[in-house]
Amino acid sequence: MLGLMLLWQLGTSFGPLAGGSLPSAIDALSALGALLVLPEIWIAMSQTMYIALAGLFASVLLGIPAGVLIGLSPFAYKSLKPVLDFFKVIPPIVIIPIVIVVFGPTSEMGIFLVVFANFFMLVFQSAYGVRHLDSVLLDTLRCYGMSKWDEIWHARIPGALPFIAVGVRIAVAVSMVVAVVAGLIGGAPSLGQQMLLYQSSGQPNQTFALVIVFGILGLSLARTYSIIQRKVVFWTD
Amino acid sequence: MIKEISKNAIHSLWLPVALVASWWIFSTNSQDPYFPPLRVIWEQFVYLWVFDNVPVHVVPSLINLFSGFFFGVFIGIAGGVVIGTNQGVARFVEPAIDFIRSIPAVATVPIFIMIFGLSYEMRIAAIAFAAIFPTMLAVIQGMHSNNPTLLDTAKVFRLTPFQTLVRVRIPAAGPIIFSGIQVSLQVAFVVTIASELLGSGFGIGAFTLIATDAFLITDAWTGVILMGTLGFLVNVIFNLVERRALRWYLVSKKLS
Amino acid sequence: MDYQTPTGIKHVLSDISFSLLEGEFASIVGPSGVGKTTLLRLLTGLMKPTSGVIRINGQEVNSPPPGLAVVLQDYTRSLMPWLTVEKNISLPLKRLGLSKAETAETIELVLTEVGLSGNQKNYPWQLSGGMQQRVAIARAIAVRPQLLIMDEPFASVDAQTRFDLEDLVLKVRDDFKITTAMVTHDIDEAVYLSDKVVVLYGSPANVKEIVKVDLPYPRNQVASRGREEFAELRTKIYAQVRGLQ
Repeated sequence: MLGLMLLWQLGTSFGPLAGGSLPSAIDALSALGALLVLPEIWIAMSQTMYIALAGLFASVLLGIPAGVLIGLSPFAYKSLKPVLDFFKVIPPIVIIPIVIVVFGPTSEMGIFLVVFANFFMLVFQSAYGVRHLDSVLLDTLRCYGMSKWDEIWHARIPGALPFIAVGVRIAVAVSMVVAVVAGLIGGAPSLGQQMLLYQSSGQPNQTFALVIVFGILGLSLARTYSIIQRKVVFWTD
Repeated sequence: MIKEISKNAIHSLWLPVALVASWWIFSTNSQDPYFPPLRVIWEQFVYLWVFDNVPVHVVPSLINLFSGFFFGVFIGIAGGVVIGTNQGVARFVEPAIDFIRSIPAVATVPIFIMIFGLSYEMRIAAIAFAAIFPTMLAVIQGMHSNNPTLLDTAKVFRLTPFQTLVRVRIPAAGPIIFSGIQVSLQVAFVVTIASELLGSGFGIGAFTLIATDAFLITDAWTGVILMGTLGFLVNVIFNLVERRALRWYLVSKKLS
Repeated sequence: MDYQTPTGIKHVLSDISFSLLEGEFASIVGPSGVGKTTLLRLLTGLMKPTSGVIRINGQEVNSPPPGLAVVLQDYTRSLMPWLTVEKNISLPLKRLGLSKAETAETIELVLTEVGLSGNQKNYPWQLSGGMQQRVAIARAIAVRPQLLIMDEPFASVDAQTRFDLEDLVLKVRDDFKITTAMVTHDIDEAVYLSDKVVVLYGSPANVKEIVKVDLPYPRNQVASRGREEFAELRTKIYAQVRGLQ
């Protein structure tokens, strides 16, 4: 890690990027340090977190139950699958132009975008997880005459949890990214918007510093989620 | 047989068709400036995109997308192979890659704007850069997950390191690598649009941006629908290619 | 109990008829792929015959009948990893409508029977393969089944553990007198454990012969297997399975 930083510093001081617009490591880091004392950065950070977390919870609360119910009904699953397949590959950035016009550059716009990004994927993962119960287990339960309700509650839903956990892990990362994007492109209050301001007003060091911030935020969010996941889905590796 | 297929088709398609139809019907008399009647959107869509604007906007977008994508995937595979097979290099580089990977791809676009200005080079560079990492990470994971028994067998058959790499290790990691490439494709698509929304010039995203600024909502809707559909189509085509390339894997999975 | 069976969809099984008396232990053997597992699926009611009828206690079987217990080969997949051992066993017990105390008592009883007393709060994946299969057996006994079906239950454990588990099955059978039908490809095991061995052969498969095993009880890995009759029975069955007789 240190090595790369050194390379970066050297590259920008002496190499082909010298004198160019890419800030050197020292410049960016000192800018980062300077930034951390600015209140507006912390406000922007909390705004970003607000959009990301609110959107995450909304999409989880809406998507997982819907997905489970859909997965339990073969008819619903078959009917909805094409719709899910279509929407889950559309990146939220695509709908930004319309969403901006409808919601304006607000936090609500950001939250809507986050939900749009996660909802279909979560529904799909949950439905898939509920449907794919191990055949050996299913046979065993049927032989023992287990009721449908027991089968759903004790077998299908716990069995689906690893799949749902994967979906949520993706959703966590996506929520953060989309919150930033909502700001960067949509002008919603977030660090993304802050970054755009810096870039367009010609403050390269700060712009770059924010990039580093994003990286750190992303990593810590991922780590936190891993810990939570290990507690909930304790029986998988 | 035909009855089975058509029953299946109806079962899968009734909902999408019903949704589009209800949108059409419910919006017919819409006065809302933000949600024009679907009929109007459709007419505008045909007017704008059925072939008039295609070379102007769609082609540049696609060219940028695919050049950046292939560039990035190529570097991703090459780099991934090097890192995945070399403990020393891996230890040196991996923390940095982990870090860069956590940065939202779209957030890197302003950096590229800073370096390259608002040009096509900027877009391709940004797209390529974003496309590198999902593929690279997948390749690294694929190299690590190579079955040791497979490698031992290759050694017994006295394959050269290069042969082992190309004919054994990479194909064995095929499924993982392909899913990484798919993510790269999706990221490339997002960055393509992002670079257009932030920059200027030609491209579907750029077109939609201008339309929104000029409050040509219907035009903007057509742009959005076009982008969504393209995103979907690109994925579908990729899946077809993947299915062909990984045929051995899919069939063997079914048999086990 | 009387079974008369069907032709499978691909003409897998044809003209199968044999009976199992209460408390008897029957093994079903045959060459690989002959249809032993298909037969089991029909017996458990998981599959419906395309022609013919299966009866347990005179009742026709179209879906898993009450009073059925199964022990399958793949124990890691038949036990629920998110439940403790005691919850895995208590779940099928719900059908019997026991009180909480009775349930706990039953669980303790069966776990002791299989030699796993005190493991209630463990998770299956914390136990070894042999122990997990014991839990599956404990679960099977706990519901006091009318019929116990086992599908190559010891194929996934090592040889030593296999002998231990075979003896466990004998003990359980002595203590609980459960009617059992077991599919196995291990002929020695079939002879060691059963009262009779049903040999399937042919395509479509039919019952080639039903061999009575008269070895005295209690059986013992060393003594019983050392007897002349054991070798004779074994050879005879083996020859039939291989199509030499």
